Amino acid sequence: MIVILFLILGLLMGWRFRPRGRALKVIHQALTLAIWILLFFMGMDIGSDKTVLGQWSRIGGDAVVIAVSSLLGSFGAGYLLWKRVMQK
Amino acid sequence: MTLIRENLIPLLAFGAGIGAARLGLAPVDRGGMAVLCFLVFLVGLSVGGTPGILNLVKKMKGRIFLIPLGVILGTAAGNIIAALLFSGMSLREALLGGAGYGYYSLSAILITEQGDPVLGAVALVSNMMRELITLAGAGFMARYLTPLGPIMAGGATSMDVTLPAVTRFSGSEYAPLSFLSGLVLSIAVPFMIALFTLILP
Repeated sequence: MIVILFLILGLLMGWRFRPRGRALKVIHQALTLAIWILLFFMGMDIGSDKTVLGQWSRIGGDAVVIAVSSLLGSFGAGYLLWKRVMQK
Repeated sequence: MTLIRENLIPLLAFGAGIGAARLGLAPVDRGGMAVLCFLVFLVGLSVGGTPGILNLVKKMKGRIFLIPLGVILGTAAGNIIAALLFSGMSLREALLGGAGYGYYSLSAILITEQGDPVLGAVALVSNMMRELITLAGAGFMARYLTPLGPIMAGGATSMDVTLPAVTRFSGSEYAPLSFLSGLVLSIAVPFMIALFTLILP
């Protein structure tokens, strides 16, 4: 995936040039703006897709199941780590 | 104020996009992909330049990676059980939905760009819920589910959005662990989504 290449390029450049102070602030502002633009695009994608519009109740229900199962599984792993690794 | 900025504006942007599409504006073909590449480039730039990361990794001698690894495996285990319990939910949907670890913008966009807008919407909402539940429940989690609780719950967001909650309720000595776990998970999101898409077509 081309996305991963851009991620690695960013990591290498960040590691090489160490942006700090003003530069880092500009990066974070650009990041926030990029997220808003992307979500707007995503809204357009979803809004123009008829299959999504008819399925909001299913989407919400599935999202609850995934969020809760993700959290419970992560708590289980955290509990094991706490007992087996962190206490030693 | 930060809560509004972090959660309300993204929702408004998303809602405005839906509204624009309803008014007949067509999505820009591949426009999202270009912004997405720019976004992950910025994430890399910000993460790669963080000072002191290598020292922290050396000090913990690799044990530090057990926390994000635990989040990845624990989330996947929970998602697999959910897919087995609910017949309407496929393994692919459950695992891809969970693989954002709270990083809703990145995971939802990655999945939508792969041509599955319904699943993209599920990922958006479920990861937002993960972040909001962590913010709202961090105190309870730190008290009853060990100090690792909020860090595990926060997933990728424990490096920024939920870091203040971890610092407050688990204690500031957990802040570096939380930050590094969130950082590793943020980088893991595109890889895990690519992996799950590959093995569950």
